[in-house]
Amino acid sequence: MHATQPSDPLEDLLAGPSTSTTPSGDLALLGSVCAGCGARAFPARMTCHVCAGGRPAEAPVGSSGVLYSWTRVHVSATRDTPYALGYVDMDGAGDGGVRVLGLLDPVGAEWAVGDVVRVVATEGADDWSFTKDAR
Amino acid sequence: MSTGSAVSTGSAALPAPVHVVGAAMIPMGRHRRSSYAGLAVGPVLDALAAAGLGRERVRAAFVGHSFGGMLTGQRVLKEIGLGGLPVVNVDNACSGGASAVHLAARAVAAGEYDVVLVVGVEKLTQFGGGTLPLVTEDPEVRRGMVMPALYAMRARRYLHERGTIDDLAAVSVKARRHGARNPYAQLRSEVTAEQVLASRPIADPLTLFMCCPTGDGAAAVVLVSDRARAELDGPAVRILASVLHSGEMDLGARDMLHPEITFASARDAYEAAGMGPDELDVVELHDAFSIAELIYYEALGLCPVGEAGKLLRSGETTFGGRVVVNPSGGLLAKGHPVGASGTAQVAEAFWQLTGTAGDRQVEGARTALTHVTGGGIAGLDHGACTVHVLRAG
Repeated sequence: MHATQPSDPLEDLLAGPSTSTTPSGDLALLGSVCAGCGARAFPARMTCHVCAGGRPAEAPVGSSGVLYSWTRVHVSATRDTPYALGYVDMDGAGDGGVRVLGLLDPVGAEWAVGDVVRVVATEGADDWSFTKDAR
Repeated sequence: MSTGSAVSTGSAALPAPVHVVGAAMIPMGRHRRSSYAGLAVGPVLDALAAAGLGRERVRAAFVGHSFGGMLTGQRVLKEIGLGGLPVVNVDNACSGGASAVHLAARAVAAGEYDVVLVVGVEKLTQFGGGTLPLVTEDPEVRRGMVMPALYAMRARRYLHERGTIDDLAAVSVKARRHGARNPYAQLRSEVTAEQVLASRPIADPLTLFMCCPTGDGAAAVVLVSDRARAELDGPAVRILASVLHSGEMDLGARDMLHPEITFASARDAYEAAGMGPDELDVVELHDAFSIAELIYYEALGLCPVGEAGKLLRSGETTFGGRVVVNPSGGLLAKGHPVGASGTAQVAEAFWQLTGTAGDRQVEGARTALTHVTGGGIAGLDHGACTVHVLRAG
């Protein structure tokens, strides 16, 4: 009988960059796609939440999307208020695309469900946010 | 669409009868001069006294809490000289107190113990107010997620797809009207829809009065087997179903008005109880924010999907209606000390089904359902959901 081998801890706190620049010059969110089953995720993952067996590889998951819902937060235990948050269904991925929670910039804009938004770089701890896509 | 592999937990039916024979709690509120033990000792002693049981009869204790720190249950029970027995501390966020009931019920039904004590206790004033501190390992929490924001986005979708802001206000008005009758409630004043809408914004479109208050609380219930029940003289309530589900990971386009974890838990609970939602007299559901009550009307099967606003406006979910939802005032008025709430709901069900609910008594109540979720975790609608169905003994 062989002796058992220790399992490996996942060093999942070593966050890589969360954005990348596409060939067309847009900023895209950098998530992951499972090499085994194709499941997409953002942020990038080290295990697959769908098939549990495949190894996700880093991949862009979209540079724009549609605002599914949003809120302007006035009370928060974690950051200065007000700030605006939204769930964005990222496009360019078809079915199986990801929904991403992000800050909406600027906080005071007239946000609406269905708005088309895109990823933009921001200063500070949050290195990206969503803004209205005027194009 | 669920992308995970949901597993059936088998039948949610309990393999042997389990009875609630005693319940007690403190009024929820700001109890800054009390420790976790100080909050919970009174309900523990009173629940045992209500059951007619001495502390020496307790064979095990399950204690729900989320922010009490290590060994909270032991810190409570040592104060009354209860030791030696197995004490299990249970964290499942807002479902902790109900998860403790679930574990206790399963243990009694399995024949492991004949008398089990359940405690739910939480002291939120230790944080000085504001939103619940969530786990910062979570990617959405790092991005600014707080519980009111999550429910606010559900509310935004409700306004977009189905109803009006008046529905959200009406839930709060009903909750506060019920809570005004309840001596255990944190908020005991009625409010008007105008006051709800004019209260300060928390996370748009939710205002202060559409959110549960921050507070402290403790509740205790005593569960026993058939054999122990036969020795007791007092009233008892039978637990027909005890269901606990975890959430299913989905990183895609989830319908925020269709909480799959509550739909699934309710389905299993009704199957185990052998009854449907149309047979319920009382429901205590997880109205942490006013939007939640509307969503859960549908998820618990109290009305068809899309008709929650209509059900609320019909008056069928208040006193005199077909099924009284949150006669206690719910989390919105009674208060929501996270780990205490699930136990407190079962205590309320016990009182309602034994005719001891005072001014908030639902006349002739014979059946009740309790429901709590536990959220604040990326990729899941909620992390936990607990549903109990109870019937007068």
